[in-house]
This record gives sequence, structure tokens and C-alpha cells, in this order.
Amino acid sequence: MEKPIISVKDLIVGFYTHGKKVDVIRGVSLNVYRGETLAIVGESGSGKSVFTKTFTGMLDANGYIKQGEILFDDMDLAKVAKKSRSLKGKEKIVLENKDSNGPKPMSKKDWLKIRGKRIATIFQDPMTSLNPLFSIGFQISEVLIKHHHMTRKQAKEEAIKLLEKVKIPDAARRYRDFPFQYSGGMRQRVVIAIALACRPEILICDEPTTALDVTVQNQILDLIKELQQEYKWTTIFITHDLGVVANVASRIAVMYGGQIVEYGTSEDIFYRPAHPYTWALLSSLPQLGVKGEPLSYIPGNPPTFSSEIIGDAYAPRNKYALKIDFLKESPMFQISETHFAKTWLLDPRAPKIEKPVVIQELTKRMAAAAKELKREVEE
Amino acid sequence: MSKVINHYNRLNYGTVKDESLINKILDAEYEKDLKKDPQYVKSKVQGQLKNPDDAIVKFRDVRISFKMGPVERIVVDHLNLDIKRGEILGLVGESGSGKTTIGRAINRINDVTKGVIAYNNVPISGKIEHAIEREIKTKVQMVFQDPSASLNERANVDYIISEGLRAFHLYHDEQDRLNKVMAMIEQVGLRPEHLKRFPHEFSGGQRQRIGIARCMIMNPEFVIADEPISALDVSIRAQVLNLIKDFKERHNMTVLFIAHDLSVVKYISDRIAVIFAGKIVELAPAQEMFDYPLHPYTIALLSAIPIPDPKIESKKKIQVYNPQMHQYTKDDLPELVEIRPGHFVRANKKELAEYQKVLGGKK
Repeated sequence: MEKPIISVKDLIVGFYTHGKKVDVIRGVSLNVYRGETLAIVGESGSGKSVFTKTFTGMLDANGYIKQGEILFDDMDLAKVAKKSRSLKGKEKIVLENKDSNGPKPMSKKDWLKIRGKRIATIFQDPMTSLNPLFSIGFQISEVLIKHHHMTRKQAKEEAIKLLEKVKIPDAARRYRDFPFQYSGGMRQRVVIAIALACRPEILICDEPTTALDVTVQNQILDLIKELQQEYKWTTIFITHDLGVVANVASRIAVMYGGQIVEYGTSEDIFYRPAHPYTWALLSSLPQLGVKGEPLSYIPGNPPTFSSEIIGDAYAPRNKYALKIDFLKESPMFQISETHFAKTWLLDPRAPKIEKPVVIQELTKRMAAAAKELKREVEE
Repeated sequence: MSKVINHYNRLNYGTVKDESLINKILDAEYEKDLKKDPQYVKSKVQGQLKNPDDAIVKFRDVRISFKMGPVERIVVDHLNLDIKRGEILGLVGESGSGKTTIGRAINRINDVTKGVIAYNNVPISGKIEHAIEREIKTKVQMVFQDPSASLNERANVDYIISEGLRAFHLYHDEQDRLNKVMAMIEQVGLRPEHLKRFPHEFSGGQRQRIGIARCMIMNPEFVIADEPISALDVSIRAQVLNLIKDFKERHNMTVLFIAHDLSVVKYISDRIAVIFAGKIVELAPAQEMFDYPLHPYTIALLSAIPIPDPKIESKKKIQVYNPQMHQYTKDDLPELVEIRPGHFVRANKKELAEYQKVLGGKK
């Protein structure tokens, strides 16, 4: 099999909050392959952003990697060189990897070579990720000067080229403009241009279209797809909207409660979903709602992690929960070569369960929705 | 004084059956314009409902503009819209199209530069009597987009929900107020112990529920829901949508539902108005809008809705709307025309003929 570009094994990420240690990522293993588009889907609070932040060493100050490894080339991104932190002066925790075998721990300097240069991130809100006090041109050429050691003049030329790449009209003039003079979609294009500047190997898109209109969202998604074909990077796409990922993703991982509950190719997830949480996510899409019937939704709230989670994290909200779901965590069951799901329902001893109506006739409903939206459908 | 009470009663019981007050104001405005420009032609003002008395809110030739220094920017112009009593009207458009401005104009947050907005046939735009303004502020309520920005961070839920009650003295005593708040908080699916908590302790969906409770406790006749679900997760969107629909059915309210996503609006609303650059381009019953979309902008919006099916998505082509595609000349200006019963589209005569051909082919 192909060698993954990033390989995560048994990652556990914790946070110190209110004087407590809380595990937010609870044992995630995942391979990301070169050139693919992997989508990570989940509700807010499922840990999908925290998970990808570990790839660039951007965890918040109170976060730490408790266990596991993230292999990228010959480096282990999970190994922090030294990080000490005192909790209200009471105890001092020093995190240091002392085992000498294996890859070298990451120092601050090592991070600078990876963050932005080899792994770049596009954030949700383009207004907060751009500095309002500097012109767009400055912010793009800054990256070029720093990472590619260009002169100011070269950087400007290159920056204008990049702006044209992301289809900003009249790029030479808009180079001098400030973020507030751009619309939301345009700002997101600028952020993409900044990410492009370093020609990263991996591009993490953290809900890049959530703050945008539907029409603009489409344009941005298309732009990312188009540029990916040209630059051949690997995209990790984070979103809460399964409707969006059908367009972009080649593989999808569904996250819930700090764990990956199901992953597979996008055909696996959309045509043969196996986990009740994936069912619930799919059936709550308003595109598939039938007028006059109440929309189905997921009752309750995502887990808060403040108390220990026993068994399956999704069990309290799950209509199809078995008794064992409340007692013991399910292992990852393999359904096909590419498709895995973490639910006891796949155990041979589990009772047979009827999938919800929406999921049973998912393809039918989707064809109907497509017809309604004036798209061509193969009969 | 008697005049004020009279006016107040009209608003209360909808006793004004004709549009005389509205027409009077429109006529006066027309004369003013005529003085400025002798060539001025009065714009055609017409209702969109069979029975004009069904309308709870009427927009007649409304223009809303903002002054940025010496420059006046017209955001909404020539807006004619009837909102039927008891319906959910979806207002769809991209950001900057003026949809929020329209909602806020009803609530008198934005001033109307020209034209009239009427509530139960009583004009509520421009200078109006204090009593009417007070009445409007209780009967028309809003649900806002961002549930974290629209709640006071320093007030507990109890205070947030009952602020409207306090402002208008809508309770007898403290116990009565508390009972009302308790009843409301249960209706939106929160628990009584949540009353003493602060907004930051809640998740996005719960915060939006607080926003809805704050709106519904005033027992409004008319609710403006300004993108209430855009900032929420998909799984929680459905909860909030169901909640709004539930309230609407139980209390027989009228809802103006503002959104940028047609798929959501289709599910919840009875009629849909598509707005582009401050002008309504298409207005039709929800199902009709999806069956026979006519205006190119509506078609572009429809094509933008993502379908959760990789096979269909891979073949998709987005249609981009270019406003320059219309060839409007001076003597063939576009108007909002009724092309089928209840289905209005903005077109000039040439386009209208084309649209009719499209409709004829599909029937």
C-alpha cells in the first residue's frame, strides 16, 4: 500500500481547564495519503479542529499531547521538545520526551520550517485571520520574503501573480487595499493566496466556507479544487456540513466526542453509512427534508468532556443504542477494504436494526433533490 | 388625544380596511418628486395578494438608503411586497442584497427614505405617533443571526428573556412575570435551572433557543427571523427550524424568514421572495419556485445548493449570475410581473415572452 504523508497513531490530546485535565482527543488513528482530499466531519465540540491543530503545533497554551505519534516524513510532530506549564503556581508540569530512540523531538525552530511552509491552514473567519492594519499586498509578500527570501520587489510581483491565481480582478490595484475593502468571499481568496505562497504539501481548510453565502461557498470550493489539481497538494477539509464535502472529498472521516467513529471513501459514507451518528448527520440535512414533515435532528448536546465518558460517547443521544454502548466502547469494525466504523451494531452478536427511512431511501431522495434543483441525473 | 386613541385602536384591531392612508402618503410623495422633476413618472404600485386585506405587512414603493457622508447609497428601491397574515415568507438573497435592511425597516430600526410600510393598513414608516410605535415594538419581534452577539453577556437568562416584559409592563406582579418566563423556557426546550445562568454557559443551539424565547414571550404577531440558523451546526439547524415552525403553528404568527440558503427556506416557508441588489427578482409559492424557477438569479441560487451525493456533485456545473446579461433599454424597463397565479418575476416585455415560452414547454 501507498505510504501515507501523515500517519497518526493513537493520539490523545488533553487540556487543562478549571484545574482539571480533560482529554479532548481520545485515541485517534488516521492515515492521510498524498494528493487526496480528506474531509473531517463533525459537530462543533467534536474535536476536529483540535485534531488538525496538532499537525501545525498550534494547540492552545493549555493543550498538550498526552500520548501517540504523528509521523510526517521522518519527524514525529507529537514530540514536543520541552514545554513547561505551571497551574496557578501549585504544580509545575514539564512535558519532555526523554526516550532517545525514534525521531527527534520538535523544537520551536523545527516548527517554523513546517508551519505555513509545508502545512498551511485556512481558517473559518477570513476577517480574523487577516490583520486589519496591513494591506493585503503586504500580508502576502511578507510570507514570500520570510519563507522564500525574496526581495520586496520580487515579492510584490509574485504576490500579484498569486492574487490573479485566486481570481481577484484588477489584482495590481487591489494589492494596496486593506482587508475591510474586500468582501467576505474575496477575503477568503486572499487567505488562500497566502497559503499558496509557500506551495505547501498539505493544506488544512478549517471550515473555510461556513461564514460565506451559498453561491460564494461554491466558488471557493471550486477554487480550492482547481488549485489542488495544479499544485498537487493534499487537502484536509474540516466542516460540519456533510452536504459540502460530497463535492470535494475523496475520503471522509466522521468525528464525534474526540474519536473517529466512521471513515471511508465518500461513496462508502454517502451510499453505505454504517454508524448511527453518520445516519443522523445525513438525515438532518435540510436538502433532504420533505415539506410538511418535521426535519429529523440529533437530540441533546455533544459531550462536554468534563466528566469521564463511559462506553460510546454518542450513546445518550442515539436512538439505536444497545445496552453495551453504555458500558463498553466499541472497537473499530472493518466493513470493506476502505470502510471502517466504530459501532457495536456491526458486531455479529448485535441485533439486526432497520436503518432510518431517510437513509434507506437516501439515493432516491438525493436524485429527487437533484432533479428539483435542476441538475442532470443519470437515470 | 382622541385621534391618537383612534389610530391606536385601528392598529390593534385592524379596523382600517382600505389603503387610503397609504395612498395619501404615496400621492404626496409623488407630487414632491414631480416638483423636482417634471418628467417624473409615478411608479406602478400594486399588491401581490388576491385579497389585499390579507396582508399584515405591506411595502409600497419603498426606498431605503444610507448616507455615507455626501453620498447617498440606495440599498433597497421600488420595493413592493405583501406579507400575508399567518404565512412564513422566505426572503433569500446573498449578503449585501438588502434582505436584512428590509427586515429591520419593519421594526423601525432603519428609516425609510421614500414610500410606505404599512402594518394592518396603518402606515408605520416615517413619522408616526408614539402610541403606534410602542405597539409595533411589542407586536413585531426579531430573532437574530448570531446567538452569541445578540445576547447580553452580562445578564442572566431570566433577565434577557423578561426584558421586553419589563419594558412594556406586560405583567401584574413578580410572580406573574416569573411564571411567564418559566412557561416560555420550557416551550423552547430549556430547563428552569438555566434561568440563573449566563449566555456564555450555553452552546450555540441553546443560545439561539434563548433568543427565540426572548422573542416569543412578547406574544408577537409578526416575527422577523434574520438568518437564525446560519451560525449553527447542521444538526442543530433542524432543531431550531422545527422550533420556529412549531411556534408559528401554535400561535398563528406571521414570520419573515431571512436566509441565504434556498434549501432551508424551501423547507420552512410558504412563499419565497428572491432578492438581488435591493430588488425582488422573483416571488412565488415555495414549491412553485422550485418547480418553475424563471429568473436567472434564482436558477443560479438553486444550482449552488450542495447535494450530499458524490456522483451528482461531480457532474455539477455552477451557474453564475451576471446582472449585465439583461438588455434593459429605456423604453422597455423591467417590472415585477405576475406570470402565473401567485408567481411574480422581474422582467421586461422581451424577457417575459421568453419566460412564458419556458413555462409553456414545461406544462
